[in-house]
Amino acid sequence: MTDLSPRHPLEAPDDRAAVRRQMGRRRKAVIGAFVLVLLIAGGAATVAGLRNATLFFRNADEAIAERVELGERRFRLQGRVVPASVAVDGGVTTFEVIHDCASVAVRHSVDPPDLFESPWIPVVLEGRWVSGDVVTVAGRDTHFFSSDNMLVKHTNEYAAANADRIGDPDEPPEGFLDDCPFEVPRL
Amino acid sequence: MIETPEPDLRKQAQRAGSLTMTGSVATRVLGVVALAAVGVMALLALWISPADAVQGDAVRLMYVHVPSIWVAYGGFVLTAFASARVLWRTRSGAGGTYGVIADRQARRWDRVAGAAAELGVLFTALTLVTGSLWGKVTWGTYWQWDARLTTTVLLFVTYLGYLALRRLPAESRARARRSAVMALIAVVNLPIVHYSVDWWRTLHQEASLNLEPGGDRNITGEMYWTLLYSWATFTVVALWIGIHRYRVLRLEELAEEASLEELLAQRRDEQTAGR
Amino acid sequence: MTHAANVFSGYVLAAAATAAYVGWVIRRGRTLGRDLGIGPRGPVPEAADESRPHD
Repeated sequence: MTDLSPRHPLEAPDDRAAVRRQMGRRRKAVIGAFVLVLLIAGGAATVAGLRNATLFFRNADEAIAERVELGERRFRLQGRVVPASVAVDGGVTTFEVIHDCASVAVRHSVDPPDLFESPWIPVVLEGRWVSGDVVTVAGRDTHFFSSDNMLVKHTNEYAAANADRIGDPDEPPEGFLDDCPFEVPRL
Repeated sequence: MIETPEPDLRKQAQRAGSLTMTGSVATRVLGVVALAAVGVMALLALWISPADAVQGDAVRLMYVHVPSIWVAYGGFVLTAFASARVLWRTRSGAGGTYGVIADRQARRWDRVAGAAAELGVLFTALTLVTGSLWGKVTWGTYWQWDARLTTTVLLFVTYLGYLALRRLPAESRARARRSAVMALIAVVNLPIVHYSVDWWRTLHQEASLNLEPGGDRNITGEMYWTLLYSWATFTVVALWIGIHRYRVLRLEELAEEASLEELLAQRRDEQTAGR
Repeated sequence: MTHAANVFSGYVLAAAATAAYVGWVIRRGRTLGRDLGIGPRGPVPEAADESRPHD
């Protein structure tokens, strides 16, 4: 039974409220502490999130345009993987990603996720610009992107695996390369 | 708790017709329908529907992940609606100023808000867990602090706080009103979560279902219908649990009243004895 | 293989969590209903006078 001390005479209309208050004091403290922890956790999550969330990645064309400002800084790069450009040498995977007709050469030093193998998959890479002469499908470039973390940004499109697919799987997504001044070699 | 001896009469009553449970004929039927629907859903989602061209079998997590958050959205919207009703029915002009809520409608809406929010929290948790497992096999990571994931965690934490606030002891009117206010603030995050994938760049993909007539459909036939069916199943299951939870909330209120009366009676006895 | 494992754990976790919650709700309803002698449709007829023992 609940301990009701301190005990003093209670008057009829108010005693209900008084009893409630005494019952509640300890529960109030416990739940108050719980709410406080939740608020702190929520705040921390928001701060951590907002730092990353507002500009989660830069598209390939933006990364090239902002190359000078970015310098040695780490950032996330987004683009679709060019199937014919993928090469694996030891632990290093090299390939190109394209977004809005801008192509970036990538040197990726960690094993990529499984879905990396599907053609023209959009990926988000974490790393930085490194100077070095490279040739991409779009021409010569003075920098490549050195990446050590890859996330596959799968799209919101779903289709049955066994459906008859028109054309070869190497085919780029419809309209993706339409306005580009360069040809992309096929596998 | 009241210490209750177990009289035979009561045991008989329970055996005879389960009169002290929260079930009724309607919820029994609903429960059977829900269970059957879950069985069919498992069959459709895990067996009949095809694997995805890119993701393979991982796409099957969609049928739990997406309906979970839809049901959670529904729960939180219902909480907000019910909370608005509570505030309206307990406003000072409507008879209540202090103490226990006299208005039966207000009590009912308060229970609806509580039951719906609890379900919302449960299904948000399921969304986060299944999403994380799905992320591992598609993105290659369990977690990223992108805008969608971050706002969803915030939604989860806010409504946990709401449930904690509901448990703070107080006179029923004060408790109902202050949780109603919090529910109306918390629901602001809901459209932010939903549109985060359009407003910001996220790792998370955009919404797959375009419900506007004539809009692009990003999911092909069987997968589309499996997703809709799973959503219907989740809704029935949530409804079934929600009705039970509503009834349990009513019993909780009655139990609180009863134990309060008990304590008061005890005190009166002591006072009379001390005189 | 991770695909199958993750899909499986996703379904099992979702089912287990929901079942656990259902179990909690039903048990709590039964306990409270028994203590109060009250069901969803009001007091239990036979038990009504036994339900509120004062000391």
